[in-house]
Amino acid sequence: MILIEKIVIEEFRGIRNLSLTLNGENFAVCGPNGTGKSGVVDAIEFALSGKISRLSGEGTGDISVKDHAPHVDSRSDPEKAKVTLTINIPSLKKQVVIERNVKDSLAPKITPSTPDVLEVLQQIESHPEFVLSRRELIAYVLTKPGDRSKDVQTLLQLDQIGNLRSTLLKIFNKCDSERKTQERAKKETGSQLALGLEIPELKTKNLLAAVNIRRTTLGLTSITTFTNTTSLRDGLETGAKSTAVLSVDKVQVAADIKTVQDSLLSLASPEIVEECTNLHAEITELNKDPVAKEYISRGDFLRKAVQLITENNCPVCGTEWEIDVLRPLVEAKVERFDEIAELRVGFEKRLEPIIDILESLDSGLKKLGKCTKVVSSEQVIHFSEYRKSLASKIKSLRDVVPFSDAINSLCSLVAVPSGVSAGVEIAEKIVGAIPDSSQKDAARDYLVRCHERLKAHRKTSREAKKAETCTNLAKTVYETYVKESTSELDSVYQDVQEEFSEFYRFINKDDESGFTARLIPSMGKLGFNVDFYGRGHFPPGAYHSEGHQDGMGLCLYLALMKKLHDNNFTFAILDDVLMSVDTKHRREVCKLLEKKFPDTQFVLTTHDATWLRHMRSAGLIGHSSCTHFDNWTPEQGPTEWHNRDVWGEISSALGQSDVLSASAALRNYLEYISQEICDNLGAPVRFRGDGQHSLGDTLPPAVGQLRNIFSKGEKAANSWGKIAEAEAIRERDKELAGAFRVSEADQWQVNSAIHYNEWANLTSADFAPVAEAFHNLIQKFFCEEPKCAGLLYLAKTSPPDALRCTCGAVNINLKKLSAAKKV
Amino acid sequence: MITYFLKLDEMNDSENLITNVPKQVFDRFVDALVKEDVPADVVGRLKKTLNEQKDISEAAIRRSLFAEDNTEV
Repeated sequence: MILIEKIVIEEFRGIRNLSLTLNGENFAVCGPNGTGKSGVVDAIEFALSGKISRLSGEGTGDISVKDHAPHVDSRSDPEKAKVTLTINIPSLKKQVVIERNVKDSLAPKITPSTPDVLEVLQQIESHPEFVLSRRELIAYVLTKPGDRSKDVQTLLQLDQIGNLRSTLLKIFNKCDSERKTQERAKKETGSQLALGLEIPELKTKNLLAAVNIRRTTLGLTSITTFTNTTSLRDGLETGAKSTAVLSVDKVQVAADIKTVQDSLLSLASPEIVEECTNLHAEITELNKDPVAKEYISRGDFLRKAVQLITENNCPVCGTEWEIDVLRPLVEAKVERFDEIAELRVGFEKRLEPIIDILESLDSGLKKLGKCTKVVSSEQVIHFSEYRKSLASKIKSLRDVVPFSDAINSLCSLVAVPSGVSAGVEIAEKIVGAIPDSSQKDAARDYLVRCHERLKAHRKTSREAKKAETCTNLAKTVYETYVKESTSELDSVYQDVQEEFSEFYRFINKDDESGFTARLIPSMGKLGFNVDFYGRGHFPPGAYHSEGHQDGMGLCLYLALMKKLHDNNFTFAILDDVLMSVDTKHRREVCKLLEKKFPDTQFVLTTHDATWLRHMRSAGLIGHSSCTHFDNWTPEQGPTEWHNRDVWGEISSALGQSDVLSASAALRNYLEYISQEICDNLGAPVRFRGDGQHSLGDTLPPAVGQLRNIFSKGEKAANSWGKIAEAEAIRERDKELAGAFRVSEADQWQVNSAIHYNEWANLTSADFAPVAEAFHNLIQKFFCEEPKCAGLLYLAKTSPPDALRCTCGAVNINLKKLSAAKKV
Repeated sequence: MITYFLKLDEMNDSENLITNVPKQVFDRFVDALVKEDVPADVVGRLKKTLNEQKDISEAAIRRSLFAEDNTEV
């Protein structure tokens, strides 16, 4: 994974030009709704992946990156819409610059573009989960088990595991079906062989006894050992055939006639007739269900379609659909399809014996039809037509679907055309009238016929054996996969469950220190129950508050990310998550991120300035690791206080005699920065229930607090005998007091509204000194080092023992010698 | 989508930085097949198909299992 060093955004989304330096550290983007925070998130995602999930997710309709990622005023020039991201790849110890514009979003310029760098970037691109919005966060918690399973599987990229399982099952089912077919063929050739051998059961002992009688008749040696290459006609003259064989093989034809007659009898038996009637009724009933018809034509299609519904439109025709409507609709159909598929398997099983009879009948008629000495050409036509009808019935019954075809076949199954019955009867009479061949001819015919049938049986046996071997292998492989994948996934979910519980306990240790959770995977679903104050495990939405659910979503996300990336979880964007978590728990969330993920760079956005302060005071973000947007206009994009040259803007406005703009900028900035100063210095500010503090509420206490701190610092320096330091601090205090006096900031407390109006009514020449006075005053709260220029802040000890800046140039000790000795 | 124009043969054997749960499952599966007395040649082909070719299509798995071309069993 990566760490972000710097991002430069140009003409992208709502941003005209913005540069943020993150230095690979946690960073916060704060600002009211509509000031461009999400534009920063979009820019990072775009730079890394070429995509913007907000433009392709639910509810985005016809919005696309190509058309809508550029700033609204740069729509016609997508090349100008550009993000330049400087990242650090810790594992490679390399700094990389990615420059990507909307026009060529698939061809970013990467420097350096070595294979190892590209590999890391490719991994990031295939793992877009580094961006977490509240919508996604809640999806992990408040969702149906089936959907959660999909979301979690998507995050962990487990789709392949399920896909391989489906593939192996499909292969096993096909192998098994093939095995059954081959087994039927083997049974058929076996019974034909037994019939030809005139033995009741196909056993080696019976076969050799019957064959050796004929061989003895022909003066051939007996066969003593029977192997899979043994020839029954061994020793017979090649091509030798009796005169009877040349005309009609009476025994063979008689056997074929018997096969046909037996099959016809079986077909007309009460058991088969009853089963056909029952199946006809059941399949007819199922066929009345409109979904059953759809199942045939669109079953597979809709199963695939469910996976493709990711946006608010139909994945095939693009027609607009609410994803929440379309997806459940298709899923309900797929569920019904699965029920129909189960019924179909049951029908297939029950139809098997009926198909066996039809195949046997077909086979007998085929052989009989070839025997033109006993069957007239007219009868051959009858047989042939009936066989066509049989083939069609066999196919429709084997396929089961379309159900209507199977129903029709079952309807007319027992009815045998009179031409066929008559033909069989005539053939039987003709064969009966044929004189028996001589004993030697009969023996020769017997051996030739049986050997041919033996060859056919050996072939089908080999095929059946091969199919069985394949089925067994496919079964073993499938079952092993199911066992191992289930076990591995159980272990993954167990880890995630434990990690999740630990994180959640961490942020709720005050009241849910015994919290546990259960992730319950089962057949494509992932149940998620959480403990509720020791009263049992329930779905998260059952009793926990929205704030707790937000916390759970974040913890589950973090647990999944930790599982997925382990020590390489170096970067994540949390886009306005944890909106409803209360103050106390937000601090704990900050601690969680800081303590449990010390090597992860979080980019956090929030519309809540208090939340930003919590991040700072909890040490999650540094004092200069944030940007604060205060306003947004289409022309300018977001305006950020921290990096904004507000004094330059005021000066420029005054140069154009625009006192109104200059005074507004000064007023807004002073209100913002005074609150920041109060927060940094812990200034005592009058409480306001609505949190709306005016400049009069904050600036004087800010000045007063800094003067108190200077006073403490001076005393502490003197106690340590650091006279020069004490003198420097006293000098700072004097300057601060002087600047405060000149600015007349204390007058704000009297009537800020009048003060504002007075400003707006001043001329440029009159207002310039006012601005200068405040500039001078505010500078006293910043480090003077140009490289730092950070706001001064109190160290996070209790009580605070130093006043510092980020770079360390300001470091005023507040602890007296006597206090230090006590410690 | 080829975003970075990365050719497979250009990739080195650097450490996979993201835990690959499917790979873990596939590795475990292949190891288990050996214990199930599945022929070594089948295991070898399957391993290659899953881990090197990263192909889980039905045709590829059938070829691995039955050493067949595209013919049905």
